[in-house]
Amino acid sequence: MIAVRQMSFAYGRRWVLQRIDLDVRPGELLTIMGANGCGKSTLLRLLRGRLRPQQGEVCWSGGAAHDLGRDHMARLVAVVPQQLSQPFAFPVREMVAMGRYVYQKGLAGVSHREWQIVEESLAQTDASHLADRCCSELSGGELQRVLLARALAQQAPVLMLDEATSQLDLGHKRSIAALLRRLCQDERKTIVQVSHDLNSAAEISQRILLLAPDGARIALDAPDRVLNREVLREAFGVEVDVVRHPASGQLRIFPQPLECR
Amino acid sequence: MNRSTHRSWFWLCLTLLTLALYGGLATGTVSFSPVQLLQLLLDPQTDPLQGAVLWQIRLPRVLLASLVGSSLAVSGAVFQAVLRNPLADPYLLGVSGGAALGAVTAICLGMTTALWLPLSGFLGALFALWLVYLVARAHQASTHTLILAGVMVGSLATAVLLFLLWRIPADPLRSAVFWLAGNLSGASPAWLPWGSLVSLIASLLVWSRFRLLDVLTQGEDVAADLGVDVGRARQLLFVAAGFLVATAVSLAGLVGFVGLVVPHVVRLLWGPSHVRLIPAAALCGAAFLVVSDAVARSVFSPAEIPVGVVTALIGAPFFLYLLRNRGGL
Repeated sequence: MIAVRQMSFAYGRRWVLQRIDLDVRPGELLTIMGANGCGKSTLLRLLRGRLRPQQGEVCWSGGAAHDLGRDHMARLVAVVPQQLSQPFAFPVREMVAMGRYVYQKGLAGVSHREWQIVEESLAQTDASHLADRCCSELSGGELQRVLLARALAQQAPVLMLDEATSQLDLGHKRSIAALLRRLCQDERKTIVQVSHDLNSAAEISQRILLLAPDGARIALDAPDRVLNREVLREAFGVEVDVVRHPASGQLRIFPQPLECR
Repeated sequence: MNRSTHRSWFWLCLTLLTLALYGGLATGTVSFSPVQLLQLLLDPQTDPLQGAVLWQIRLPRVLLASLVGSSLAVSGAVFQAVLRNPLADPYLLGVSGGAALGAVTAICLGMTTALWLPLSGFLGALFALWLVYLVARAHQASTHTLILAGVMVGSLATAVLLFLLWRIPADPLRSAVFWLAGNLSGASPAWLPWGSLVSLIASLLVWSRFRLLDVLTQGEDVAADLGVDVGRARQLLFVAAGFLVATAVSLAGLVGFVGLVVPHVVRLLWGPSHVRLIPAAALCGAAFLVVSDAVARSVFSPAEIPVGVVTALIGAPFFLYLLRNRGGL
């Protein structure tokens, strides 16, 4: 789907990512993890051609990512951003319809078919009941589901999420995690997400890409091979215990207790 | 939003504008009854003197007010969307300073006729916008850079302007200050068709990009991911809105509050979607300025107060009311 070859990227003189090799496979859920400032969001931008790497390349089937054009790229990738303040009070339905921007050209209004896609997307993220509300009056969890619905309305084969659930409570986190897994399995979406939630990533990801603080790749593999003491110490500088839940077999990561003083 | 509000906004705006146009034509030093007005509009010869007042003084002025009002309101709506800031105002990007400098330069050079003043103001405004854009382009025209560059260009223009005002003798100074305060009596009616043409083309261009404007309110990052070439889109809207402000400022000086308040009120009434916002702002902006001008002409008749005073007197309290009731914007 996306092939990254020996890619390095710098903001000015500061190298953020170094010699990254990565193949994003169709239909997989890939989670990018690493310490703050290690270049996760930057990598996500490079993958969708918003930035141009100084060395190496990011290739889609059509060509280099940054040469594809915004219009073309919006048909391939939909992005769920971190929440932004909403200065204007758009109704939820119109907000989700913005996801259809690349498909609507000319002066025609939103067609019946397009509204149908909007309704379906809202239903998928469990947000149909919000359709008539205003975006500016939604709670964080509600707005996040609306933004996810907008990304789904874009009907792109690849979905990218940049810490899209970090501000949500446990219940909403779980429901979005379940939705992501369902999108992968049932709809064959390819999902690339940046996340800090080790436990949730271990549960839903097919593979995890772990970046070192200097922006080099530490590991790229299935969760149970990536998430171990040595690797996590290298990535975060923290001692952890990795445990399997006795009943479900899920991986659980526990940082070692703080020292008492 | 249900179907009936989808249709009713247009008729409501149109009714509002019609009433405002009637008010603007009927009131003033000489006032007309509705019947009189209709007679004179159909046949000026029924009373040649009053016909002349209506056709040669009142009508051009009311048309000018609606042209300036709609241009300011539409450009205000565009700047607010592109800068993602509900408090943005058409004059934020240094356009006003540029126009003022252009006009005052013309006054200094002795070109004080009603024909030269608008043209030099227009060129000054476009020059200021061009300068702002050159600076901002280096940073892909990010909103913060645009605003800062606009404020700086505005300050620069004001500094040069103050220097010029200090240099010129008292007589041209009066006409310069009068022009700066914003008034609708200065411009020659000869400019009316040209101003209308520029304003109409720019407004239609802006309206045809209603989806783009909607998407840009989500911020440049999100807009790019939704498929917008943000740099090019900004450039287009910036030029169109710039021409609108330049037209308004060159014909009527610095009339405040129309561009800030009118898009706000329209958003409150019919939502932020630009397919409605742009035409509704155009109609309501025209109506607002026509009424303000009628008030400015008739309160101390036959003397008139600058129309900018009236728009501010109506606009500022209204805006304070909005701020209080909505708990910020």
